[in-house]
Amino acid sequence: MSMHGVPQGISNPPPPIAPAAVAEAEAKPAGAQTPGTLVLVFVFLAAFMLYYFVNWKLLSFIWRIG
Amino acid sequence: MHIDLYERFWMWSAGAICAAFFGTIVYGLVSEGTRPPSHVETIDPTAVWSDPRFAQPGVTANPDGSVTVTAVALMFAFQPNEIRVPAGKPVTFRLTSPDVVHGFEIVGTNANTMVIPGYVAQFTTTFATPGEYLMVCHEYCGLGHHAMMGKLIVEEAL
Amino acid sequence: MTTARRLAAANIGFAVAAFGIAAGMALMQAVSRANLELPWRSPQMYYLSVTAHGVLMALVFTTFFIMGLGVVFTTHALDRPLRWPRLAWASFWVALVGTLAALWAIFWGKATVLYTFYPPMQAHPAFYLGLTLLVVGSWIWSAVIIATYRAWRAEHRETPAPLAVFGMLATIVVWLISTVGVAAEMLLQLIPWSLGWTKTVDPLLARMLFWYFGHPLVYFWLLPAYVVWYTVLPKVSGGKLFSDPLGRMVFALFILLSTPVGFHHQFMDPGISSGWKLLHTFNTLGIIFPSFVTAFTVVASLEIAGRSRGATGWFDWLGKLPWGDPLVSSVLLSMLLFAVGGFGGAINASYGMNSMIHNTAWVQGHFHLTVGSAVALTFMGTAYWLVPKLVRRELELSLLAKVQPYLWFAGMLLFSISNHITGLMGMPRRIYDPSYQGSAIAEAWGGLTGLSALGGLFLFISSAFFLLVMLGTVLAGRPTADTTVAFAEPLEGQPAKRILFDRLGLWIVAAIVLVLIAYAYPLAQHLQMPRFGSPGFRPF
Repeated sequence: MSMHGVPQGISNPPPPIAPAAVAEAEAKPAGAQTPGTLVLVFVFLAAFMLYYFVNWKLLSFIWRIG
Repeated sequence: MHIDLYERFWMWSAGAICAAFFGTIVYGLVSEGTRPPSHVETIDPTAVWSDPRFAQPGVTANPDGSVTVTAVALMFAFQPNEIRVPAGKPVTFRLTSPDVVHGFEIVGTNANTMVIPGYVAQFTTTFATPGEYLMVCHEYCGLGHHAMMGKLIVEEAL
Repeated sequence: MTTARRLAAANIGFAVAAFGIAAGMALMQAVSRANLELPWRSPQMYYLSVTAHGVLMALVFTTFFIMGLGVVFTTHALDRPLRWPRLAWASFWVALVGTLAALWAIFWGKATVLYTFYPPMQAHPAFYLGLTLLVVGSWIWSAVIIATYRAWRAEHRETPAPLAVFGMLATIVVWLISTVGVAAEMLLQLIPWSLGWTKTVDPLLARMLFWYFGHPLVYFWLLPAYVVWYTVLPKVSGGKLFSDPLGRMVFALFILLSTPVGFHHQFMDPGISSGWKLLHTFNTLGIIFPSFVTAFTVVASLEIAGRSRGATGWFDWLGKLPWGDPLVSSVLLSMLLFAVGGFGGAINASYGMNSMIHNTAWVQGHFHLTVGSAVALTFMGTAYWLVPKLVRRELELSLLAKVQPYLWFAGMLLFSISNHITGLMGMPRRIYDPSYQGSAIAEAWGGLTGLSALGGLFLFISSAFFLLVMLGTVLAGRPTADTTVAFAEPLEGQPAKRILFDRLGLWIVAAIVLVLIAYAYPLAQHLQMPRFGSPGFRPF
């Protein structure tokens, strides 16, 4: 394919974007572009639940005030 | 209004954890009877020492084996400042103040209450482990606040 | 706009000065708590200093800073001058005179009652009158901001208010509803009593009124910080606001839920029945929700910023954020600390666990993560961004400004973690000397109080850096003409029409109904009970 004297970009053009891929990109909801955030907030949630549950189990359960 | 898919997912999860917090409270309420501590009873703060309820602070044994501790929190001491109670028996504390707001805490336990002049604080708890405990005031009550302390001795029940 | 700029500079300048004095007091307290001998260490000095630190940080620094911020946000986001400029200046002067009167009483040893001023401990009347004037000043400020907004609204019937303004309005609504409580406490109870016009007060009624005000007070501090997180942080870090309508939802929920929660500060009080405490518990657990939503929206805005700077992986966008910018690093670190603070807040709200930590060092560990970090560190970061625009000078000593937030973060972790642990071990808060006559139980707190003092030292150095940067900027910064205050664009563009959450009137009515349900009945019940008043005491 390669030709002498012709710049790479021209002799090796990027593959054309398949119409299917364009359609897929457009069909994908505009959101759902923050996967990192989703993971981080669930790490936060898990830590929160763990912290609360451990305290609850240890403290609230065994001491009763009437 | 449009909400991003991930964020919607997150909001449901956050709603669920709030519901779980509610759930722990309701569970404690229903299965263990754990209500917020409360006792509504008033007293004239200028006449604490002559009031029959507090004229003789100290420990009284009740027929059912439980004990009642009557104590006065004042600037800057507890009266009495040494309290002996049996282990494993319900102990009801009754406290009031003839002067400013005080706190009452037995370090390392859940015996904890505000002591507000004009009101009687009352709560019941059980001390499982015999030993000597530190009793402190946890609400600022003046320059001697940090010196306001006493001793609670939990004795092996006979 | 010149009035707004000068007024904001005056408010923020005074706030920073108050912060500086309070930071000095804090170091002394942390060292005293570790039982290290200092030249002037005495119970008088310690408790006076706790009072001054609390009043200056929690009431003076925050209120003045928020008044300055509100003026800037409103005038810039609406792009119009302040309505009633003279009244706007009056708000500053009234608040200033009140603050000076209260500080006189504190520093002359006549008001060592801490910033919660629970009666029957009685301070000099100047303390109560001064704090009342501070609140009156903030009311005048509220009126000016509302009037400016209404003037804009009259010309823009259908446009939603910019989020920065909507957030400030929510702050003002929370403030106006909640200050009714402290105003009633001051005017009906404490001022006449301290002047000798009445002989006694009901200490529990005073506590109920105080905490009616005292918890929404924390949202008065927090909401302006949220405004910065939502509208300034994404802009400065090069991104967009992830969701504008959810921001509005969050502020609306805070209007609704901020006030009917105060009894969770009084779980351990006698005289309030169990059922009402329970209702306030549920409301408190509900108010966690808007902060959860905030966590997603703000972090997602940052992810958008990082991705627009070329990040493609799961987490590399974190590294692409401008961590060297003092606003960005301050806010990010304050958010991290706030997350941990939130864990503890849920524990505090659950009364079973609260009985273990009520009034222990845990509590001061907790609120130094919330007001002392989420709010104070955000405000410091905001000052780095805003003060240069107000005084038209570039940020001076910017290296110190870069280091300062990290130093605060490290200091606060040391301080706060050690206080949480000593709190669980039962050490009371606000004590001059933790040795309890050599008690073996108290001895166990020793190493941790030392760590807490070390944290205090870090925080003090961090505060000093902040003050140096502020002073350097005002006195020696290179002149600049850049005064643009710009807010983040929403990812989906500016909202075109007003939604349910924009309807402030509706939310205010709903909030008042909830407040009445949560407070009217227990207060009426309380007032009908035969009660005994207390005369005043001055044990300081």
